[in-house]
Amino acid sequence: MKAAIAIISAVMTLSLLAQSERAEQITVPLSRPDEPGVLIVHHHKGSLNITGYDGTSLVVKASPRYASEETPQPIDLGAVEKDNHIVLSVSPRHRTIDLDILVPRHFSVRLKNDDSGTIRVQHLSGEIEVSNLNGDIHLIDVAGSALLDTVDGNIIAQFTSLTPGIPMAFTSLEGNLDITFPTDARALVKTRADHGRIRNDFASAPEAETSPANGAGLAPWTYTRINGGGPEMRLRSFYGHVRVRRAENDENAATAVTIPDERSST
Amino acid sequence: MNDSDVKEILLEYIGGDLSSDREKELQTLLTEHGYTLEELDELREAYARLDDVPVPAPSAAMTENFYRMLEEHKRQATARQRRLDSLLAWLRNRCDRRLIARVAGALVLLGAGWSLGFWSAPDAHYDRRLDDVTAEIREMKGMMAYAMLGQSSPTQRIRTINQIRTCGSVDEGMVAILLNMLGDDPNVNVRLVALETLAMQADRATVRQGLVHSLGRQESPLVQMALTDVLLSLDERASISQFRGLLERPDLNDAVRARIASGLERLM
Repeated sequence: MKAAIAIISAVMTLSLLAQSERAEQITVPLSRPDEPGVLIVHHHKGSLNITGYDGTSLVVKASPRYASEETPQPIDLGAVEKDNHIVLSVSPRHRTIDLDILVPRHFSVRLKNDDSGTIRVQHLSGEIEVSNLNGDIHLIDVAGSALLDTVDGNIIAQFTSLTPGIPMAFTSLEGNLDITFPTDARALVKTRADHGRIRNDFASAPEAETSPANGAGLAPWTYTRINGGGPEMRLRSFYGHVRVRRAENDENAATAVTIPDERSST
Repeated sequence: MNDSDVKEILLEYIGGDLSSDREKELQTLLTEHGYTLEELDELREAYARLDDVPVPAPSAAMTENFYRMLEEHKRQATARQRRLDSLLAWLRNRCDRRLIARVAGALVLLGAGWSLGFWSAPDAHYDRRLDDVTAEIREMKGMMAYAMLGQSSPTQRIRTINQIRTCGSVDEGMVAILLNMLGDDPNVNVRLVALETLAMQADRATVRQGLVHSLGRQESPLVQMALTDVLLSLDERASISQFRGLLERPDLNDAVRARIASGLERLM
């Protein structure tokens, strides 16, 4: 298949200070507008806000968070599209730039962020891969599958449906995990909070099992089979707490999911 | 239609690139032999469902065995990285699409054979034969997993590692691939799942050496922490110099630093 390559570059050479402080925006059309695609972003500093919408192209808006120095470097926002795969690039790296991106609803995302921001993905169906070094990860009203990791941040994820047979993983070093599974999800949920607590809406199921603690006396994995079992869902926080929710408990789960600061309550 | 033609059409079907003409051909072929396309799909689905088999936790005997092996290992020298690299290069060459297709085809043929046996000749030894066939399928699953590890989706890679765990026969080649994933996979969660699977194989000298060697190469605080936990739980003294090296890094995460510092005291 011969792929069409579209290169969209919106390099703004702005001479005036006032102009350089404004948000920049580009629109990225897809080579196959009716099919799912993949968005790949490695952001250096700032937040990432991805929202699924009814359109067929990507709309990317980059806003500087702070008023910068006297002669700020202008924001350079670029995208390369090939076969519905889009790689986004944003510079200058040292500036804190918040990204708001609209994508078609059936879209997969691979997002990485090094500093200063939450990664939020909402109203989307696809494979979601997120790695956030110093910030939270929020998935709201998503379907499909997810692999999420963060060092310092919390992970809050609320799924409306899962891709059958596909494993997922959620890992944080110091943050809390709060994952809401659909009522009919079939899964083997594996939880571990090395220094925290685990609360699991599904744990009353008689199938719950626990692996033996290892030699160093660390917390063992706890297994809970949901609806007869299925692919492995791996939830681990080294220093935070782990919360597994059943969707039916939260009528407005998209807004109701919050992480209580359980550390301060003990 | 001869034997190789049959294999070819089945491979195309498994690969999902069967044209509608060829699909009709396959249907005719199956009908001639008393099967339907749905039965072939059922077999494929049955294979996929084997993923859902939960992994048993390691037994106390396994842990004891590990410590015994560890005592022997403590006297041994460091990893033989060059041999590992050449093995990995060899494996990468093997993990091409054609191999995957061949293994997939073999699985279907095995499944078809199994079903044929099941439908045409039920007998008193059925249970035993079923066990044999199940073992064979598990072995094939292992081979399949082996060939699939080169694929690009991290979700698929985790799925494949889970298959390796459930196939019950992890060989040295798979250990080498898992160590490679622990060292180089771009996704942190894939590296953590690879680590977990390797930790279950910690009675192998190559695994312990590989884990120790990997520690100094890890950049992610999450993997550093998980690997530190595994090595400390194994009381792995060969990792002391690696731990000291990590402590010298100015950018080491504070939580990881504290964990290593307290662990080192216990190890020494």
